[in-house]
Amino acid sequence: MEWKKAKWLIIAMLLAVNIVLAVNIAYRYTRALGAELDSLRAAVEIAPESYGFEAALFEQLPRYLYEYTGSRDLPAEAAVASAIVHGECKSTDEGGGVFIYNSPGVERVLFRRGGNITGIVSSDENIIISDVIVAAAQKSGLQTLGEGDEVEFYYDGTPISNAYYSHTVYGEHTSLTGIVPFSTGWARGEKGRSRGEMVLVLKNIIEDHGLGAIKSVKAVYFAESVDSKTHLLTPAWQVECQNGGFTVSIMDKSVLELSVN
Amino acid sequence: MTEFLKTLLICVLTVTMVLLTVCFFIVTVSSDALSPRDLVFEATRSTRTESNEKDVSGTQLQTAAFPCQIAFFSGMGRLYMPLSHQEYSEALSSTEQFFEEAIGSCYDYRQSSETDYLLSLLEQGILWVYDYPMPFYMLSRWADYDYALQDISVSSMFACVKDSSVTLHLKDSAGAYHCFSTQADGAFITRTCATFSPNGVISAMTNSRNTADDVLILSGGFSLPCYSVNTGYSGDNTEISRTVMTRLSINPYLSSVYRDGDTTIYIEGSSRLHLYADRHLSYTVTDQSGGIPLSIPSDVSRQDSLLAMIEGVRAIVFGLWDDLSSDSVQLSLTSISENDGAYTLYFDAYIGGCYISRGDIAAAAALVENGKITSLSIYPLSLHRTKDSSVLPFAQAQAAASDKAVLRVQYVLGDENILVPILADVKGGN
Repeated sequence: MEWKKAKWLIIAMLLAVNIVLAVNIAYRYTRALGAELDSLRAAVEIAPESYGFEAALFEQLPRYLYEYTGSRDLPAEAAVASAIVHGECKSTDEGGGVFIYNSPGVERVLFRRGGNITGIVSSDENIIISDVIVAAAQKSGLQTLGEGDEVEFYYDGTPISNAYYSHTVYGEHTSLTGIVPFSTGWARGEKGRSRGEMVLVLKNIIEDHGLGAIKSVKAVYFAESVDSKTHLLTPAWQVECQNGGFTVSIMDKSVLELSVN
Repeated sequence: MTEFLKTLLICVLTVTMVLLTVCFFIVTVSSDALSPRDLVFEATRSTRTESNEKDVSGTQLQTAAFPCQIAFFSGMGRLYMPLSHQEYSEALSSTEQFFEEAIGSCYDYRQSSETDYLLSLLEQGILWVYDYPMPFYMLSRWADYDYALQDISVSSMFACVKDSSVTLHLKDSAGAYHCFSTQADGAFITRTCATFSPNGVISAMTNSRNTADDVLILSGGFSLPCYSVNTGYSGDNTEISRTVMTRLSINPYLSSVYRDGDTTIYIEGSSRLHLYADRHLSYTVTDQSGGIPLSIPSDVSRQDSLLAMIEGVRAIVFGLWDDLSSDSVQLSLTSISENDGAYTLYFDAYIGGCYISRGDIAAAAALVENGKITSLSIYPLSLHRTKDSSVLPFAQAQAAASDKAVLRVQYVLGDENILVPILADVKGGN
């Protein structure tokens, strides 16, 4: 009888502790959320008005993004090559992460580190190369939008800015290029820098390169490689300015792409 | 039945309490506003990412030596060489993987000549120059490849593109020339070199009165930043010493602490760590039972065992350097000496590819005996950028230089602990 009452008491105590913990977490989370937003707004205020920094531009961006690494999926690359090359497809490991798939004819598909694909294959109405690549990308955990050369690649709902596929038909032959990181899976790594810190980084880059006022900012991933066997998705901000644009890593603040008009 | 439900409820509430407690600590320790999904991820990170990281990292060795000069040739000898620290860092990170691909995929080795090498500099290409020649097998293994080309120490390498094929030209420490075909991405060279405009740096073959022909020289007057050197730690260095001790396998909580003037000495077992007030760090052991063990496989070739030793030392030395020095200062392996089976590895400090000279003191030196680091010294550098300084115009430096001089920018310590850029002849090494 006593033990039955004790159980109710334990349940009541556990409930109370859980409620206190949950309320505390919610309070601290809300406070941290406010602090992060405050630091973002403070950073925006520091930037010169002529650069067009507005808090609203950055508030729509994810608070944090993580980098992801993934083991390069060589069987997936081989499967893509086999599907688009006619006849028997022989593979060669050239070293340095370069794999070449050849047919007895002139067909040749080459995969490099970082998901880089180039090749020349026989034109064939029955094989839609983009569909083959899209299917392999989806198996690798990437999402796609659009089709053909217009296809866009995403990871976790965020676009991979430099991933693409493109082809050109030259009569009997089709040349193809692209960047699609086929991976056996993606492992989450370190967390990127805060939005407030990145605003100050943006200000310095715009000043250094004379890029003028910001027109738009969006969060993207940038496909790179850690080594010949490992893909890397670096979280970044892609910024369009009056006199050009750039993509900057939110991990180490390095400029990944830059174009000045 | 009711009792069973009560017991079940207690179990559920207990598990919830544990999870909430973990989340509470994460939220308390982290000042970031993590989303609930990220919170769960952080709470389970130690159990999950460990295995993932092992899956993806593989066994590739990390590069321990870096080029002192990087140049982008856009054809007909026009070139761009990064001069500032930021430009150099960007150039290094953008070309590092390209050279790994080029070295990793090289084939069709052939001996070459100085003429071929100099003529190749007229093509589009990327040049890496090493201050100290690096054995080709090391470069090859750092590129995750094993090419059996013995006894070549590379002092510079130039990857150029012709008809979309990439050729790798090497110059070795003995002045001989070598050449490979590679499967590297020729479009990368074309694309990258097109983004850089020539910036007043020229190859000396156009002006080689008494300068080595393949040396890059700065044709006009130019300025580089000076740096003030911070001596001593600012504020409490307890946190620094804990990090340092952990890297050196010394338990911060079990070690005895002594003070000798401005020097703090930590002792645990046979390990001695001296942290000097001028930021100098010295680790020694008093007997052979001590030391930091390195993971060196026993049943491998001498080269592989040497590479494993370099990797072990690199991980510790670079980690300590990152803890104690400025972000902008980079360490690079410069030499290895052997004496009775004991190896001494020396590392020098560079900023933007420019050697930082501090007399005969190496930025870091490690002694490895019987697979263990038994002595380690590090002279970290904490720098703060100050005013720019003009470097001696090349024509004047050339007039004062010896025959076939190799003139490069170096930093030397001037008055008031300021590092000043100068042009120095490095023909015989730094």
